[in-house]
Formats: sequence, structure tokens, C-alpha cells
Amino acid sequence: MHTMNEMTETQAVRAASRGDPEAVAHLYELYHTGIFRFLYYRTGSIQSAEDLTSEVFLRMVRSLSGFQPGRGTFAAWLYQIARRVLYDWYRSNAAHPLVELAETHPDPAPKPDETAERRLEHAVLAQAMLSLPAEQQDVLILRFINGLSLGMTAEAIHRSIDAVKGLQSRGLQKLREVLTERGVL
Amino acid sequence: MTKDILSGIETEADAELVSRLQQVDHPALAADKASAQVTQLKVAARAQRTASAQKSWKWILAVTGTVVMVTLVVTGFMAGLLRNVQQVQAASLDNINGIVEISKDAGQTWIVVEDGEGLTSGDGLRTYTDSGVILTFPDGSVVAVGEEAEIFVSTLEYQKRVLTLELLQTAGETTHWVVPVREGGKYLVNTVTGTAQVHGTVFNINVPDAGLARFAVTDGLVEVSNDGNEILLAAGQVTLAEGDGTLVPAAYDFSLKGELEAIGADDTWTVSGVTFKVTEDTRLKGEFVVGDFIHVIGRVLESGERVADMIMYSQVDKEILCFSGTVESISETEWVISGQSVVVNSDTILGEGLEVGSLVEVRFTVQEDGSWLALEISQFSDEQGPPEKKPTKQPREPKGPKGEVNGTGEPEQEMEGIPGPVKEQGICDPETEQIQPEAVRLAERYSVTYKEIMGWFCLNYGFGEIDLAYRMSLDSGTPVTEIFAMRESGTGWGLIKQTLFPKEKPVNKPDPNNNNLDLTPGPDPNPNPNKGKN
Repeated sequence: MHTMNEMTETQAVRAASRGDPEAVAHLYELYHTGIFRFLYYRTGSIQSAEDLTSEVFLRMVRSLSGFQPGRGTFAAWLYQIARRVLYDWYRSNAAHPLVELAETHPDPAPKPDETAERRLEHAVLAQAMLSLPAEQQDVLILRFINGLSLGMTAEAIHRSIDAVKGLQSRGLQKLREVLTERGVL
Repeated sequence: MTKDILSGIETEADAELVSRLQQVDHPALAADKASAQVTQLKVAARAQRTASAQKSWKWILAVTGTVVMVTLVVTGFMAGLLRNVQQVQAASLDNINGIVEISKDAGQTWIVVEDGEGLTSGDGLRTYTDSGVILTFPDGSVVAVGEEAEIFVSTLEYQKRVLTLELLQTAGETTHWVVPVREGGKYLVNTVTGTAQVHGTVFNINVPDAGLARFAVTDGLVEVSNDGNEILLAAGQVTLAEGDGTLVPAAYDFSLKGELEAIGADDTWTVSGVTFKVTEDTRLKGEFVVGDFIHVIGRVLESGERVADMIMYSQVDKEILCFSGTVESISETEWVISGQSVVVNSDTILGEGLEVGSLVEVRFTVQEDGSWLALEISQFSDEQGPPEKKPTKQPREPKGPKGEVNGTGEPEQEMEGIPGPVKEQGICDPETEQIQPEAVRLAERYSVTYKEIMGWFCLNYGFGEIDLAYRMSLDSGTPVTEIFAMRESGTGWGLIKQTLFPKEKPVNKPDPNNNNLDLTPGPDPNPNPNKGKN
């Protein structure tokens, strides 16, 4: 019998789909940080990201029986759920645009004596990210914050690798422009 | 930085920015929050397991029910009992692909569903990315629901073989194969911006966002209305219902899957040699650059100009170019279809009965000289039927004997030796049915008639289910009629297998390439679907 530490992801997914609480907890440990960061940079809100992370994993538990390993990786499948949770969240919050960042993180324009190489704060980055088109945000977060490969990113957002490269290139360009405008770069 | 992270990075500036992104002190979920979430998840997992266990108990109960039902079949009571079966008031969910959820509380909460479960009045249904499902309504009408779609069943009633259906589609794409609506019935699909009402037809609705619905018709007529405006669409035609109440004039449909070759300054795009206009109303599902493989759907205006309605990334990298129109002239080498010349040659596949005035769909490719070569020209009435259902995993509503499929108490017309076909479903109409190669193969394999196989097929069994039933019949010696009777009573295939093979005797799926199958007959070597039902 495997302990949780010895359990491979495949074994954990299989056990979790049978309702094994420890296996579910194992999958949560493996992925909750990445999912949380993805949701944070897509919503700009720590509070929302916390709530949505919980929702993503609850949906994971309910949907695991429908996961087909032959059709893709578990990580990409989980990010697909996260994107759907986000989609629902955007719809339900359409009439209540977020203000948290603006309220809690005032304009971080640098003082004259600050160097151009000062550390990039996550709140500043989140605010800049939100000004990018959604797909560019997805790609930049998955690739450069969560460290997914081009292939897995393509799988997670249902695009070809070439399309991801294009989104990545345009996203970086746009993000650099935004950060430069704000005096962060 | 790892090499993989730098994949696709083309400039030093990009690499530098990536480096800066990786140096950010990214936030993490607070430990207490994470701990609370783990606890919550464990509870949810246990609840899920308990629900599954309860489902198993239901299956055990179903076995008991099955024994009773089989006994009734054998003693001839089945027919009398099932005549009084309650009308089916649900659409069955089949061929579930990916993640599909239903809501019983107007979209407040959603639950993942499996094949064979039902959708009733008041329910919502939605699909995730790369997911889909087939809905089959009690009258045989079928709806294919595509990815990222959301629909709500406002009304679903089936009384005295009359279907009254009203759907609200708020997102995504659905394609409908509607059997002729009987007098007093209704088949209505609302979107936020427009409504389609039909009387027996094939059509498609695409709702890219709350401000637009696109209605396209493949067969028959569809009446589309929006804020008092009405328009009648014929096969091959399309209209758009926009958020401001506009209903654009009917136009012919086009669809292009190919490589984006150019984006002109005048908003003229080119895909696989075909040009079209992109307007401010065109819905773009992505940021496209030259070289992308994309899918464009749009309209051919009266002026001949093509306008894109929606553009998305293509799911397949195969070039497929199509347009619809009316045949205006025919010669040996060139046809003119709604003003568009297409070259035909000996390789062009031509549908039967084509003549000037026919409504057709043309699949074509663009030749080096810019001319369009028709690969296939077909009439809309040649369109294929709805997708075949795969075997379901869940119990289904009981069907009646003698081919009564709708639980109406009124047996359908019987064909000799086989259950009565579902005439409304087209493919099961002896007048119009086309030979089903899979049925031929199964008939040969099990030494029964083609009609017998099609009899089961027309009772809504998939060919996979029929194959399984006959194989289990051969292996267990149980008449196939009894096996289907068990299925009719709501027992899943897995449980039937366990019942027939209590010592876990394996059911070997026959090798299609092996013609030396051991077809040692059981008690009923040439089972008749009607046998044992009376």
C-alpha cells in the first residue's frame, strides 16, 4: 500500500475519483498554490482567489469521475476547471467591478530616487496583468508564474502551441508597455 | 531560468521580463485557509463516496426489480403493465464528453451528471470547455449541445405523444434534429436576443455572448423572432438576432476552416484563398495572427460579399471550406450557385437529384488560379441524422413491448419479426432509411437478419449495446430478448453482466477481424426481439 507521499499523481487521481479523502487532500497539496496564484492574478483579489480556489477543488471532487486520463493531463484539466470557475465568477460579478486593488494598493509610481530595478510587487503585477486581454493573462500566468510548459499551457487553454507562443509574445510586449507606463520597469 | 520556461521567447527584453516575473514574491494561500479547505474537501470526498455507495444500493434494488420484471415478461404480464407506464417527462443525457453539469435550482448550484441521467422541466444544463452531450427528448427529437454551452428547460411536457418544449439557451452552440411537432405541441428555443420556433427540422443556434444569437437551418423551415420582428429561414440560410432588437435579413451560410493567410488593412481577411469581411460586429474568440488555423462562420450577403459572424481557433488542422446556396446554372465543367462559380470535375461528388433551383451545400477548395473546385455538392435533405447514442450507464425509462418506445401505451406499427421502428426518427423509417453498415456487420456476426438488428437500433439502442447484448446472449445462453428486457427495466449493462455471469465469466468482445467466432448457440440461437415479450 502506498503512503500519500509515495503515491503518484495518477494513483492519487484514481483514488480521489473513488472518493478517497486522503487522495483528494494529496491533489490539493500538489496544486492549490498554482491554482490560487492563477486565480489571484486573474481576479486581482486575494479574498476572491481564496474563495475560488476552494470552489475549483470542490468541483474537482465532483467531476473527477469524468476525468479521462487518455485525453490529457490532470493539471491541464484542473486549470480548465479554474478557467470555468473564473468565467462564472466574472458573470456573477459583472455588475460589481473589483475595486480591491485600487483601494488597497495605491498607484505604485516610483519616487524619483528609486532605481528602475526595484523589486516588482505582486499587487503591482496583478494590477498590470488585469489590463491585458484574458488569453494573454492566462498564458503569462500559466507559463511564467506557475511554470507550465508550452504544451501543457496549450492544453489548458485549448490552443495550439503556436497560438500560445503568439499569445505569450504579445502578452509580454503588452505587459512590458503597461509596467513601463507605470514606471515599474 | 529553465530552458523550458524560455521556450518561445524571442527577444532579450522578453527574457528579462520573464526573469523579473519569476523573481516576484508571489502570494500563497494562508496556511489556516488551506487547512480549512482541505478539511472541507475531505468531507466533500466522503459525501461523494457515500452517494456512490447509495447508488450501488439502488442497483441492488434494481436487480430485485429486474428479477420481478423478467418473471413478468416470461408470464406475459409485461405488456399489460407497461401500457400504463407514465409518460416520460425527461430528456435523456447521452454521449457525455468531458464535464457536463445540471442545475435543479435555476443555476444557483450545479452537479456533474453521467450518461443516462435525465433533464426535466426547470432544469439547467451546461458544458465545460471541450465537453458536450446529446439530449434525446421523449418524441425522439435530439439536441447536440456543444462546449461551453448553457441551456435551461423552461417547459418539457410529453402527453399523448405530443411534445411541448421550450428551452432558453444563454451560451454556446446547440444543433437540433426535431421530429415533426404534432398538433398542439411546441418546439421553441429562446435566446436573450431571439427565438426560434420550428415544426420539424434541423437547425443550429450559436450564442457567443448575451448580445447575439446566430440561427442556421439545415433542413426544413425555422421561424425566428425578435422584438416583434419575424423571419422565416429555409435550409442553408442564417440570420442573426442582435441585442438591439435587430434581426438581420436571411442570408446563405458559409464556413471556412483553414489557415489565416492575410489580414488586410480594409478588414478583409483571407483564409485558404477565400476572402471575407470582418466587421465591428464580428465575434472574435481569440487574437488571430497570420498563420493561425481558424474557423470562420458567416453569411453571404445578397451583394455576394462574405461577412464573418464568428471567428475562433479551429479544433482540427484539416482544411474544410463550405458554402450554401441555390443552384443557378449547371454545365459539365462549371456550376453557378447563388452567384458563385465553382468548377466541377470527375472527382466532384454530386448528390442525387440536383437541378437548377436546388438548395445545396458545397464543399470546395481554392485552386492555384483562384477558381473554386467543388469537392462535393449535396442537397440539404441529404444531411445526416443526429449522432448515434452510445450505450448508457444509468437506468433508463422503461419502454413498452412490441416496439412501443415512448411509453404511450400505444404500440408502434410492427414490422415482421422485429419491434416496431420509431418512424419519426427518419433513419428508422423503412421508406427512407439508408443501410447501416454496422447493422450489416452485426447481423452477419450473430447470424440474424439485418431487420432484427435494426429493430433494436430503432428502439434507441446503440450498436455497441446491441453487440454486447448478443454476445452476452451467446455466452450465457440467455435469450437476447430477456437481456433487453432487463435493460428495459432499468438495469445497467454492468449489473446485467454480473447477473448473467455470477462467477465473473468474461464476456469477450469479438475480434472484428476474426471470422472464426465461437457462435455456439444458446437456447435461442436466432433470437427474435419479440419473443417472450407477450
